[in-house]
Parts: sequence; structure tokens; C-alpha cells
Amino acid sequence: MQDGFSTLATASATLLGLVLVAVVFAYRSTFTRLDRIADFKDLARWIWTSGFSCFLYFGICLLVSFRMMEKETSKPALVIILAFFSVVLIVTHVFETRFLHKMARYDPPHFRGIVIAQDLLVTFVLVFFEVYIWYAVAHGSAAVFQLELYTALSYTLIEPGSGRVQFQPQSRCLMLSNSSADISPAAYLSCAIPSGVSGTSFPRTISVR
Amino acid sequence: MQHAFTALGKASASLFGLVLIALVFALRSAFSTLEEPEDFHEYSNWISMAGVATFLYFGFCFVVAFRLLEDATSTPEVVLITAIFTVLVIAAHGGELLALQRLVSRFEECRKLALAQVVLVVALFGLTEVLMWTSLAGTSDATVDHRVYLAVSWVLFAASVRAVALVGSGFWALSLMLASGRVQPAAQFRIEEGD
Repeated sequence: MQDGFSTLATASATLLGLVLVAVVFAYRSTFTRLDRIADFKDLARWIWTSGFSCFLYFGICLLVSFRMMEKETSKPALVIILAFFSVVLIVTHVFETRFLHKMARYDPPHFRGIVIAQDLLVTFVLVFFEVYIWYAVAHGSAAVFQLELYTALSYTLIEPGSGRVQFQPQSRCLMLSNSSADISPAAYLSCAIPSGVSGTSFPRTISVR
Repeated sequence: MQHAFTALGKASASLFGLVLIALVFALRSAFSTLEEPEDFHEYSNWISMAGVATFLYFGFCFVVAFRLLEDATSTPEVVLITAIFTVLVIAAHGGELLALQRLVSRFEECRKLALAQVVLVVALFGLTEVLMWTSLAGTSDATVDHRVYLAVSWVLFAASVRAVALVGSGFWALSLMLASGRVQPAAQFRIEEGD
């Protein structure tokens, strides 16, 4: 299993770093597309907390892999790490969901889809992680525990990044395309919208640039 | 334990490179958002120094991982590396906090952010120093190897948390600076950049 955990640790570290790069790009692209800085606040908070929760999933894979590669893994130490991360993950997800719902108030009909999808995804990822991890911990035999934990972590690694990142660009488009006029796109982007075209069709005109 | 040390070295190296990319893009976006280069001065000094401090943590992790991969790790060598790292990281954190203090003196709005950063820096530095020096106090070489590995794996994670917080704080500072109304957003520059 040493090879497995070694690869898991390397893959987690790479993904962890890439989440950081993805968060920077998400911020950067939003920053240049919103005219008023106040419009950026709620989206920025949501991006940061959702990025941080992804980071926590990858972080736990990294830390647990390192612990599993020790000559003698201390199960109580692992349980403490997993319990600590479970609590932090729940808190982060709560904040993330709160910020998303706050952001959705800008334009409820447009955001309904993304809010439902995100809520379902967050619940699924968290429940899957908690159930699988604690099921693995509940195994008495060391060999079975090792194998179950490895399987759980390998699935955890693919879960957070798979669907969640795709929703962030979509939400940025929704923020810009809202028809409530609470948010205005950056000046240079507004210039690119032909006159007579409503704000709702704005995302489709991004390619104009 | 060779597998573990190899993974530690690879993980540190990946994070080292990716954090570099993240910081370059964070700085680039600040540069293209502010109209006047002098508005960028304190901010870029802070991000650069904080970036250097973060690289030192990741660099330290992979240097130690490479030492652990040797057939017989020399404990005095690891002690020397840790001591040099401690001096360098104190200098980097000192520079970082000084740059942050200059940013706060110009933009009062960044006071909360600065406080959060100071807490984070002190926590990361304190954790690293306690973990490293207690692990180096092991009795046998085998014990030292294992304890150093344990300590470095935690330092790696703590430094990653700091890197994520730094990226968030960088954009937070930038939005506070722009919201203060004392800096000019670079609309024209953004048109040319076409991001």
C-alpha cells in the first residue's frame, strides 16, 4: 500500500496547489469584469470559502497519506485528524452556502439553478466523505482499515474538484447577466454590448472581445 | 519510510511551483487593476515578501525531504538547515510585516486584514519552530528521522493554508484599496490587457 499512499500524497499536493491557482484566476477574471468593487464582495467570499473547502479535502488526503506511510500508523492520531477536519469542513461548507445564498439575492430566478446544484453537491460530497471515512475508521483490523481508508481518500480526491469548479464561471456570468441592474459590468465590457441588447444576454457577448 | 520521504519531496516541490504561479498572477492582476504604479508599491512589497516567506517553508520541506532520503541522514546537517531556515524566515516575515504596516499606514481600511495576517504569520512560524526543534531533540537517528518527517508533513500543510489565506487576503486588500477611493482603477489598462 506504500506506493498507493505515496501517489495519493503527490496527487493531493498537485491538486491542492492547482486549487490555489484556480482561485486566483477566478478572482482575477471577476475583478476585471465588475465595475463597482462593492459588487465583488459576496462573490469573492463565496469563491474563497468554496476554494478553501476544496483545499481542505485535498489537504486531508495529503495529511492522512503521510500518516499512513509511517512505519506504525497511530489510529487515535488519525481519528483526531479526521474529527478535526470534519468539524472544519462542516463550518466551511456552512459559510460557503451562506455566502452563495446571499449572492443569489441579487437575482433569485437566475441563481436558483446554481444554488440548488451547489447545495446538492456540497451535501453529497460532505456526506459521502464523512460516511466513507468513518466507515473505514470503524474497521477493527489494521489491513482492512488501511485499504478502506485508501479507497475512501482516492474517491475523496476526485469528488471536490469534479463538479464544483465548473459552477464558479457560470455564477460569474449570472452575476453579470442579471437584469436587476444591481451589478454593472466593467466599463470596457459594457462598451462591447451593442445598443438595444438587454443585460440578460450579456454573457453571450463576452466572445465579442 | 523511503516512499514517504519521496512523496514528501514531490509534494513540496509541486506546491512550491504552483504557489509561485498563483502569486505571479495575483501580482499581475493587482498591476493591471491600479492606474498609478505608486499605488502598487506597498501592496507589491507585502505580497513579494509574504511570497518569499511561503517559498522558504516549501523549500525547507523539500530540502529536508531530500536529506531524509539519504541512506544515513546527518542530524547535525538537518539542525544546520533548520537554523539557517529560521534566520531567513524571520527576516522574510520581518520584511513582510513591515511592508504590511506601511500598507496599513496608507490604507487604514486594511487594519483588520493586517491583524489577521499577523496572527497567521505568528501561528505558522511558532508551529514550525516548535515542531522542528522538538523533533530534532530525538534520542536515536531513527527517532529523529521519523519525528522530522512528522513535523515537516505538518509544516507543509500549515504553509499551504497560509498560501491560500495569502491569495484571499491579497484580493481582499486590493478591493479595500479600490473601495477607499484613494487609488485610481486602471480602466484603460484593462481594455488594452483584454483579460
